[in-house]
Amino acid sequence: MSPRRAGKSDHRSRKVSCPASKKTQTSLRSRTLHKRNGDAIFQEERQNWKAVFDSSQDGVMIADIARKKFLSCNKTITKMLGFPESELLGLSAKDIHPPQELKRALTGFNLLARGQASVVSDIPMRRKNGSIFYADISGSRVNFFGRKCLVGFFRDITERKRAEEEVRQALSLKRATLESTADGILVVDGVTGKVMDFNDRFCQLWKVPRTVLRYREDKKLLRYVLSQMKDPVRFLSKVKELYRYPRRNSFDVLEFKDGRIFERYSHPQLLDGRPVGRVWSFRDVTQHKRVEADLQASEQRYRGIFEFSHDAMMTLEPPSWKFTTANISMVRMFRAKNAAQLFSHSPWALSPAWQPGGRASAEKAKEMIGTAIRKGSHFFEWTHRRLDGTTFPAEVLLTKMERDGGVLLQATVRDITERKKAEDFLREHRHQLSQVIDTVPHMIFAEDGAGRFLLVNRAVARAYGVEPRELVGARRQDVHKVREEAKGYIKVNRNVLANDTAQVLPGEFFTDAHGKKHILQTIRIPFKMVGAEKKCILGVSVDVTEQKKVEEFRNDIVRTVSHELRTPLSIQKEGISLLMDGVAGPVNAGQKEVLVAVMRNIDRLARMITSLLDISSIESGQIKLSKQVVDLTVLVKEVVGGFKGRAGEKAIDLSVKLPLGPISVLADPDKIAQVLSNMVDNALKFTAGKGTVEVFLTARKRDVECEVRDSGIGIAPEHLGRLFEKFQQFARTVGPGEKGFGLGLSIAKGIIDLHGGRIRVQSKLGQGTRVAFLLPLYSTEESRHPAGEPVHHAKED
Amino acid sequence: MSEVKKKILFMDDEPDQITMVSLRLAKNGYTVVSASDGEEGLKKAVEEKPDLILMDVLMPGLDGFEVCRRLRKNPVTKHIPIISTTAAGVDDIEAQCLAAGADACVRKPYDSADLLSKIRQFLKK
Repeated sequence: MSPRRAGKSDHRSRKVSCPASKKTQTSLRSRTLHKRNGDAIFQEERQNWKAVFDSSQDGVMIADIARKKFLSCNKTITKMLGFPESELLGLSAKDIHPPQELKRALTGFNLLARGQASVVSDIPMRRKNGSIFYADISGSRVNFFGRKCLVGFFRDITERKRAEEEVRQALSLKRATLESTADGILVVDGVTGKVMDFNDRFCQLWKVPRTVLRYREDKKLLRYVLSQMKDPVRFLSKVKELYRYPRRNSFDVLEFKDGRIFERYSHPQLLDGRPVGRVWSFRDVTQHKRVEADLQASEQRYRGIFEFSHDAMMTLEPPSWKFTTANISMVRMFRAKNAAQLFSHSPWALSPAWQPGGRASAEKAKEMIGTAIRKGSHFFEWTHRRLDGTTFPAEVLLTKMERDGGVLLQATVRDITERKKAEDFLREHRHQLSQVIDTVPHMIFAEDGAGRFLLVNRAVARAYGVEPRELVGARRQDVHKVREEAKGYIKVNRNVLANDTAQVLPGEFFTDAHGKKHILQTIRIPFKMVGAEKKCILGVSVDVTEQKKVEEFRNDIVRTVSHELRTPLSIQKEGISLLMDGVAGPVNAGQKEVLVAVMRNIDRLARMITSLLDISSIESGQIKLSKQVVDLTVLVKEVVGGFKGRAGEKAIDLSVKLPLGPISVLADPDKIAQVLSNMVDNALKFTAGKGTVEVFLTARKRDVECEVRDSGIGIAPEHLGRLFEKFQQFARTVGPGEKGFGLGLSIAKGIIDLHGGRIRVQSKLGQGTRVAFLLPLYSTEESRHPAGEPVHHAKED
Repeated sequence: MSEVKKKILFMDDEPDQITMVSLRLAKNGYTVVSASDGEEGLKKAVEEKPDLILMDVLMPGLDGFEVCRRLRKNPVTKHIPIISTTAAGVDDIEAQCLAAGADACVRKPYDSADLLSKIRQFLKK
C-alpha cells in the first residue's frame, strides 16, 4: 500500500544521470532522501494515502479484532453510517448493525477476522438515525499500530439490491408471462444447449415431468420429445440445423403418434444483437388442424360437385357480372374450348339479343340478377346462346353468396331442350286429343260432385250456346235452362259418386239453350282427374232423340196397327164361327172343312199380330211384368195339360217330370206360361208321330231349370247360334196353319231375360232338341232385391 | 122358354162387329140393343135398361173407359154388369178396364164360347 509518488522524485532521478550504475545512484539517493526528509515524506505519504483512503467509494474502517473497536475510518463510511468520524471511532462492531441481525453481522466479522472469508455479503448496517441498509463487506487482516486489525471495505449494496429486486421482479414477471401464455415455451442456452427456462404449458403439451426440465437434462428431454413424434428423425435434423444457424427463425408443424398436431416456432434469443440462446414455442393446433382438414375436405367436395356436376355451374362477380369460374359442364354446354373462353362474358353476352317475350336480354338479365341479390336466390327460364351461335332453352338458378365481405352470384344452368320438346309434344298431343274429343258429336264432359264443369267438348258448348271455356268452372245448375233437369243430373251424379259405380241412363231429358228438347242416353263414370283430390264424374251423352222418336213411332205403329188389324180379324173370326155353328143356316161337310181351314188361319194371323206386339213391347222396354210368387210345378202342369189333346192327335207321348215339393219363383205367370207354351208347341211341331216330348222341372241350389226335350228332327249346328234371333225360321216343314213370324224364341228369350234368367238350347240333327230356361229361385232376399227388374223408360214426372 | 129374354146392350164402332155379335147373341136367346158410339150407348143404356152391357173400349168420341165411368156414376145404370172388349195389345188393358168400372174384359178376336160363358156368368149374378 505504499503509493508511488509521481512528480518531483522522478524528475530528480532522471536529472541525475551518472554514467556510473543507476541502481547504486538511486539507492543512494533514496537513502539520502530518506534520511533527510524522513518525517516530511512520511507525512506527505500519509496525507496522500489518507486522500486515497478518503476518496474511496467504499467505506473503509479499520477495527481492532480483539476489541472490535474502530480505529480508523474514511469519509465514505462516516457518510454511509451517518456518524461523524469522532463518534464512529468510539464505536465497535456491534453498534453499527441492527440488533436483531447482530448475530449474523458478528459472525461475518469473525469470518473476516479469522481469514476464513474475504467477503461477507448482505450484511445489515444501521445508521445513526436508525435506518438500515445492506452492505457487502470485504476484509483483510493487517497489523496496525502493532495490533491485529481488520480492514473492512463496506460497499453499500442498496443500489445493487434494488437492481437485484428489479431483476427478481422482472424475472417474476417473466415467469408470470411465461406461465400465462397458452403456448408451451422452452428456452435453451445457446452455448450449452441446456434448458434455461420453460413454462407449465410446455410440460403439459409435451407431457414431460417438471423434474426432467428442472434438472436441465436436455438429453432426457429430447428422448421424451422424440418418442412422441411421428417423424423423430426429421425433427432432430431440424433441431440440429437450427443449432448450426443460431440466428435463424423457424416455423414447423409437428405430427404426433397420438394424432396431435403442434405448431412450432423457434426464435433466437438475442442479447445486444448476439444470439445467446433459443426460444421454442409450441401450440397445440390439433383441433384447429382438424377444422382446417374438414374445411378442406368440404371444399374438395364442393369442388367435386362443382366440377363434375351435370348442370353447368358458374360464378358471376360484380360489377360487370362476368363469369369468373365455370365447370366442365358449362364449357360443354356452351361449346367453348375451355373455361377461359367464357370468362370474358356476361350472361347476356351468352344469350340472343332478345328473350322470348320480347325483352332485351341485357336488360332482363340485369333484372334477374337484381332479384337474386335482393331475395337471396332467383329461379327462372332463359334462352341462352352458345359460342357457336345456336340457342337453347334453359332453367337458371341464381344464388347469392357472400365471400370476403363482398357479394357474388352462383349460377346453375340446366339445358331444358329435351323437357321443352316433351312439353311441346305433350301440348300438341293434348291439342290433338281435344280436337278429337271436339269432333265427336256426342257430349263429353267432366263435372264435380257440386255440378261444376271441369271439362267440356264442343258438343256440350254447342248445346249450351257458349264457348267451351265459358263453361269450365261454371255450375250446371247455373247454365242449364230447365232447373228440374239439372237437379236430376246432380242427383244421379251424387249417386254415382256415393256408390263409386258407373251408371247408364237410357233416356234423360235435356233442354238445350234454344229450348229444344232432347233425349240423351248418358253414361256417368266416377273418375279421378289428374291432380284432383276427389273423384269427379266423367260423362258421355248420346243424343237418342231421333232414335227415341223412331222407337216411339214404331211403338205407336205397332200399337195402332195391332189394334186396327185385330178389329177386322175379330169380325172375321166371329163370322166364321157363326157360320160353323150353323147360326146362318145348316152347313155341309165340305163347307165345314173350308170354314175350319179359314178359322185356323184367322187364328194364325191373330197369333202373328200378338207375337209382333210382344216382341215390340219387349224390345222397347214397354213390357210390364206383374211378378208374383209362382209355384212352377203348378204352372208347368197346367201348360202341358193344355197340349195333351194336340199331342194325342199326333200320337206323341207328352209327359212331365216334376219334383215332389213346390218350386217357387218370382215371375209373371202369364209370361212364363207363354214361354213354356212356345217351347212345348215347338217340340210338338218338330216331332214326328210316335215321338216323345218330355218336360223336366229341376230345382237346384239357387235356380230352377225347366227343360223341354223332344225326339224330333233336331236343329242343324249352323242354325243353333241364331236360334233366338228375330224372324228365324229354318227350313222345316210345319203343319198347316202353323207357320208364323219366327219370333217365338226371341220373345221367350226376351221374357226370360227380363226375369233375370237364362235360356239355352241343345240339339242334334235327327235325334232331338232340348230347350231349357233357368229362373232364379225365390227366396226372402229376392223380395228385397228382385233380379231382372225391367228397365223402365225414364219418364219425366 | 117362357122367361123374359135378357137384354144386352152392345156398343162398338164397327158395324160388321155389331152384325156378327148380334147374330151370335140372338142365336143364344138374348135380345140385343146396339149403339155405334159412346154417346148413343149411354143414352140407350138409360132408355133400355139392359141386363148386361157389352162394349168396345176404343171408340171415337167418348171412349169406352169414360162411358164405363159414367155408367157407374149414373144410378140408373150403375148396377148393370159391364164386359169390355178390346183389340188393344197393351198389357194392362184389362186392369184399366176393371179400374174404369168394368166387371170383365175380353180380348178381340175373342173366342165366342168364352164370351158367352162370361155373359152367362154375369147375368146370373
